[in-house]
Amino acid sequence: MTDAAEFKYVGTRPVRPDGVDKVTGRAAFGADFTLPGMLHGLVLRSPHAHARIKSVDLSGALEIEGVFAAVSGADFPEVEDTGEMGGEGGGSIKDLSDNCMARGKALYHGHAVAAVAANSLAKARAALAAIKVDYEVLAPVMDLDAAMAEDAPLINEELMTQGLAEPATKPSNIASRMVMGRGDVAKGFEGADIVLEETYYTPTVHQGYIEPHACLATVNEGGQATIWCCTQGPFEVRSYSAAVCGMSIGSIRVIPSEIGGGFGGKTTVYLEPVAIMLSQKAGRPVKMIMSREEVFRATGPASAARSTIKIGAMRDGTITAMSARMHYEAGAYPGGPVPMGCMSVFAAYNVPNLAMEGFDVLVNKPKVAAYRAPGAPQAMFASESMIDELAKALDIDPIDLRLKNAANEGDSAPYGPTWDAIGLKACLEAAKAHPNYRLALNEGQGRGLAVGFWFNIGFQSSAEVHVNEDGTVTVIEGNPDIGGSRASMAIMAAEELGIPYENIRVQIADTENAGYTMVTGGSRTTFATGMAVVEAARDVIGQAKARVAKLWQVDAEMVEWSDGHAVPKPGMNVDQKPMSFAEIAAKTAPSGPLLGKASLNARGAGPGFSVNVCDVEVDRRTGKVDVLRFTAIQDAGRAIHPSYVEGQLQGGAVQGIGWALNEEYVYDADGVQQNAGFLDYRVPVASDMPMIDTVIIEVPNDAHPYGVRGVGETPIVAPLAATANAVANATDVRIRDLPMSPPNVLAALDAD
Amino acid sequence: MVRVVLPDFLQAHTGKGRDIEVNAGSYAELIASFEREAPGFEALVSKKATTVIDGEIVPDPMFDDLREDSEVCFLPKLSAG
Repeated sequence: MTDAAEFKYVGTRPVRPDGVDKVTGRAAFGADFTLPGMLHGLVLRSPHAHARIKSVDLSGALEIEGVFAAVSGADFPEVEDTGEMGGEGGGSIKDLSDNCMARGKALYHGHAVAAVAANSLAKARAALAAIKVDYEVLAPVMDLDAAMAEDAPLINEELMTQGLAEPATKPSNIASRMVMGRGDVAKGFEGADIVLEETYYTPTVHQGYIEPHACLATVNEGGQATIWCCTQGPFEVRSYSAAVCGMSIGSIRVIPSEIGGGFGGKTTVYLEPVAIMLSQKAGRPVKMIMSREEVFRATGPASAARSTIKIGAMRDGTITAMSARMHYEAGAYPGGPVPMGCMSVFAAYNVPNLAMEGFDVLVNKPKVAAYRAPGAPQAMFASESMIDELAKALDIDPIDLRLKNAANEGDSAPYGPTWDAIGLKACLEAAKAHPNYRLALNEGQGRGLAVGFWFNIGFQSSAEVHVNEDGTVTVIEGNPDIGGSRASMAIMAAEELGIPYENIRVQIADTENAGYTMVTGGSRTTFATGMAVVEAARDVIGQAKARVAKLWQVDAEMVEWSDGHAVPKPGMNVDQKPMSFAEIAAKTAPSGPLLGKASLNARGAGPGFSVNVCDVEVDRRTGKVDVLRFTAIQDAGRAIHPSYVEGQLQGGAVQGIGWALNEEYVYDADGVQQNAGFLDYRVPVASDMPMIDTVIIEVPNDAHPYGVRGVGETPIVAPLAATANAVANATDVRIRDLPMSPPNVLAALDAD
Repeated sequence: MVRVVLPDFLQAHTGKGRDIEVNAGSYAELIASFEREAPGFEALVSKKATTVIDGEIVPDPMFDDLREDSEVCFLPKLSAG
């Protein structure tokens, strides 16, 4: 790994190359594409949260002039229940297919049951109205208690709980159980001076990306499909659409648009297979755009979760045992983030006796999708609230209590591996030293603190570095740019090649113009695709040096690369001037273009830890909570572009604060969401928030050439508990059920 | 001996505990050893587990050599956003 002091471009803050187009409206997003003869596709969605589909009659729709195609579940190929979704989401391909278009049962209000394509939106709407669906309405199960009741209506009559000590003997809504742990928790609690046990709840929330799902698909007479869409993973859209539509992967090309947020929610497919099926039938391109209401009702929210945490400690603060029993809503199909919840809940602490138990529970809500650090915010809201309760019970400073028990290099993580270098203690020390932690608070104000953790991943990425004839460079990669990754890639390429950042242009290629690259998610892009860019740059430098060696008639090892030029090795007896890329490209053009490539499966993604400090003021008359100050501290390994690392910390903080204070799906008794729009589903807006202060800690990850750790997901983990702990500090009332919205806070204060 | 940590579903499949020790010079040997004792182990790992070797998540472990003091942890498959 290169020493930080040697960097020329890494750590600088150049303007992002896609910025101008995005603020002027020139950038093309998912809904911005059109083709000649294009049709408009719409989806008919179930009006019931749980219903058997007895029949679907599309004939009325097809009789309308201008309607070119209509499909229902019967038009989609049956998918075997064997394949597991790759990429980011849990669950099977069969469930993914059924989620795109219901077969047999509608499992949530808004579940797709049919779709049409017409030459105008008005005709498409008329066509939807002409479709006849015969439902047998069933009782919905809308929360964990209802789903796990002995006599609960079954969402999937064949679902047998996996992971029980004894095999399940009858179906239930509990898809699976997972257990983990080490040591002897009973003994650990027995030997403790103090034992606390409480239950915490986080509601269903949405990722809340600004841009709704949208795509345009066209299938030609030869069966070749092209899809333009907004997605975090064009290669995943390709493989999932192929599986759902019964096509080969090679017959589908996916061209990703710019993307207006995803946060994990755009790692799967909803519209794309439907648009392909409609286009196949119509013989024309089909464009589909979700409304905001459809996004709320039919795309993956994050799991609601209920977690019971038990903790035992000595009077000096040494934690002797911790246990967690966690239930996650999966939505209508198995695949909630239970494993990540079990593994992250106590990840921050080095405790000998641990027990984690998690349940994946079906409810009549949309199938959950990934949302930044899936499973961890729910789990660590519970555990970090409990740590705060313990600190208060023991009268120990919450940072000191955490430092006393914090995981460190060489300790064993609760889920098995031995920690390498991690930045948890450095983050805690930085929080303790931060001026915001020492500011005086007034009456009605409170301060809370919490730790966040996420694993981060690497996996498959590809990149190419093309040297143009004038010496400028084009970098080709396959990760849609969500958080400024074009800039990060250009910085790393500039650092390797020794040429100015401005001379490098990064292009996001489609699935036929970039090597396979896994989704933009998992906090992996700067780490894994960055690694591919570095390798591709080194490859092209090697080629350039080899060509220069031939020109100079010396061995290749006698040529070095310095500051963007091939130079003679010191001491080499040759009278040659350094040669730039432009000169090398011009002089060696007959040898072909200079093109470096890399394709890798990145290993060693370093885990990320964070510490958040939140100051709030609570209005005891209205229950409104105002965030006064928020300090987000996180280990980034090394910040390639510090502004975009800070942006991740700030964005995650705001989303976590929204989850803590206001966001929740509200359902009526029939399982119909009552707040499917941003007027009623209250995400924080700029005027709600103070400036989020940030501190970047850099404990380099040795597995990356520049020490990068992923930073995209960890920032959303700590804000929930940090905010709740601040409210408890301000009011002396502990609220364990989120959101801490004004009526809920008022009720808690009144009950005290 | 290589230290191996198994998650609950692999404990159930092998009938072994969470922390065990296995004599193997490579990841392939280690998998073969489990496969001999509990057929289906490799398929289960491939479908449901993430492999961590000596603290690093390793997406392509099949060609990795292991040291005498290596640590191989099978985690439930990670997903992320």
